[in-house]
Amino acid sequence: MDSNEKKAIIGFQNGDPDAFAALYDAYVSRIYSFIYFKTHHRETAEDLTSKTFMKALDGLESFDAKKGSFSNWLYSIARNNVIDFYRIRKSEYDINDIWDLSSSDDVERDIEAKQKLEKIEKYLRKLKSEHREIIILRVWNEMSYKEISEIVGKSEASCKMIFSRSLKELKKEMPLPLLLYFILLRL
Amino acid sequence: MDKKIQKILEDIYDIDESMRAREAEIAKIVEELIRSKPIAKIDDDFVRRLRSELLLRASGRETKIAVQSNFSIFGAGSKLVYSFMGAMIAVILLVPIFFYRADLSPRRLAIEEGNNGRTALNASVTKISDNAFGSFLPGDIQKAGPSGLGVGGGGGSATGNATGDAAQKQAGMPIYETTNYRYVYKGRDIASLSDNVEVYARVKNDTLRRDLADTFKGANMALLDMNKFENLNVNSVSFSEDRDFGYEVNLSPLDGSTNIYMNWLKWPDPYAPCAQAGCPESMYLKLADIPEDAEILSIADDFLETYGINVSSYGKGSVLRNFLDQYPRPLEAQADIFIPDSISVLYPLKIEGKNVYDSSGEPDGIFVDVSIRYKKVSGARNIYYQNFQSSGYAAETDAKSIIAYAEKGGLYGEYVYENATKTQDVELGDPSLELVKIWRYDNDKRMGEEFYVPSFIFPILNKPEGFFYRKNVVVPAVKEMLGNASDISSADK
Repeated sequence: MDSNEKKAIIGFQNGDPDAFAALYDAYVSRIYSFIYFKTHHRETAEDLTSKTFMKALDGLESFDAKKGSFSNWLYSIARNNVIDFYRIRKSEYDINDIWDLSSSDDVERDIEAKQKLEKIEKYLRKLKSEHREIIILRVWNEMSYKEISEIVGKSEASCKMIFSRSLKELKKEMPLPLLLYFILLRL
Repeated sequence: MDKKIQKILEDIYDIDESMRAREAEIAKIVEELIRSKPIAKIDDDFVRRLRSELLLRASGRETKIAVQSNFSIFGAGSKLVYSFMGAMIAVILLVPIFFYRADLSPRRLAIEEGNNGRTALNASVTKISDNAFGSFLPGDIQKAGPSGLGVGGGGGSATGNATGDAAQKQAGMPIYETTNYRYVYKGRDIASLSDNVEVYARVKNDTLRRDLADTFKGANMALLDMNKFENLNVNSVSFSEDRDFGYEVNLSPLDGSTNIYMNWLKWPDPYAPCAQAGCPESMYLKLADIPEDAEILSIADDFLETYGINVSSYGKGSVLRNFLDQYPRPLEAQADIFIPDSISVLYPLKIEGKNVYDSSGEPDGIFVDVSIRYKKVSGARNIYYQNFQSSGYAAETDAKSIIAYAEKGGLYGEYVYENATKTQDVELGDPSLELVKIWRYDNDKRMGEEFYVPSFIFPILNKPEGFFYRKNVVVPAVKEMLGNASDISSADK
């Protein structure tokens, strides 16, 4: 854990409310992106980001760094908030994020995100939730495997393995015309 | 090949060297993944707002109320919740949530005892970057707040009409006397002007609004399915006490305000017998019925304390007897003085120790109405969430410009008749620099926003007789609010 992060947590636990601001500043954009890539909707992402930090604030006093990293803890709160958000609305399914819903499901999405994801969306949907998360953290959130391993609670090596296998899966799933399209684009 | 893609591929080859043979295909997939990345740009306003809310909450975390965990009853499987029970629980939850978030919680106040056992919660002010509230150009400033406070105030505008003279003459009607007022500064030189002032804005608590909405969202209400509504926010909720002399409480998370009124159904109606034969003279209140200030203040103070309304950001209460100003003295000699049923006590708001005034230059704060007839509080208004942000703005440093603006009527200007029958000078005294509540209309959000702007309040020294209600002229100290003082003409106002 970053030493400034540690200091901020200890400071907060010792009664300095402003210490939370340092943690917030360090993580707010990252948490928002993490949630946005699971919801594709700005208002929803803002709402869940707020809830994540509110819950973190309420729980930080009893947070124990020996049991895990702060980032793992914070991202877990964010992930659970996303899960809760969709499960409340679609209680009949086992849903982790918007990727587990079919594209025809009646959920709010930003048009821009929908357009951007047009080509790749259905292939990403076929991946296991955990595998998809690692791909997104690596490619969209641009995190190192070390950071990813802290967030998903796996070793760096197994994150790398999952990433590699997921790409293989994608390669298998993507139809030849689409791959040709990519290759033509590259020429 | 892009370095980012190259790095991703190298990581893959570390795991599975055989993938190298498929580099072209894999690289294209990665490339497409990158290309498909949705834009997740976080809104700066949201970041600032949430930061303020969190810091406020952090500063008061010792009295957490376990609200979040209660929400789960509306979570997964919520459709099984009996709708009636859901609604009732939701209502029970709303009060603590609001009061906790609004820093008015009696529980919290009980912990933070201050002077003489009174509650002592401090307002929070978060300093943010300069000019953070956007521009305050003259065209953006609303000429009146939503409550209508401080509107105009001069010139007999209730009946005057600049173009009506000719029509009146033609109709043979007597010409209505119209007066133009000319403001003349009679004070001393204004010195020691600062080149920067802090403007304050109340932080809106949008999280609270969504949390409250979520309380209902999971519940399948008896009349409709709340789940079908999207992006719900709670703007206001009302509660009423079912008891004699009970109250109605209106919470408005939209603007962070609370107002308390008498529940009309539970208070006696002294005028009920009047419907048949008119009110007997004995029913009307008399000057002697008004209690002494000490008694009125004691009733108001007790009410605030009983209901845990925090007044630590406010000055001491004072009884507003200004409704008597219109009567000649001595008051005891006047036969027809109308005494209202209630008299107000004002607890003036202070932000960082500075007094706050409304846009007409009158003190602003919590108003507690005390029923003269029943010696009970009949209402409390203007109770606001005290979480502010402050941002620096360039101030007007030219005293001549400030005086010129004041002489043109200040913030709300002065209506000028084309063919006024007379002109009267209104003298302005030495100004004081205070915080004044000013509204700006945000075209994008399509709503007004409230700001507390350092402003010069010029007292009117010689109030003209007749329809002239102003007591002050207000001039904002923020330079851009004044525009170009030389361009200000009465016609613009």
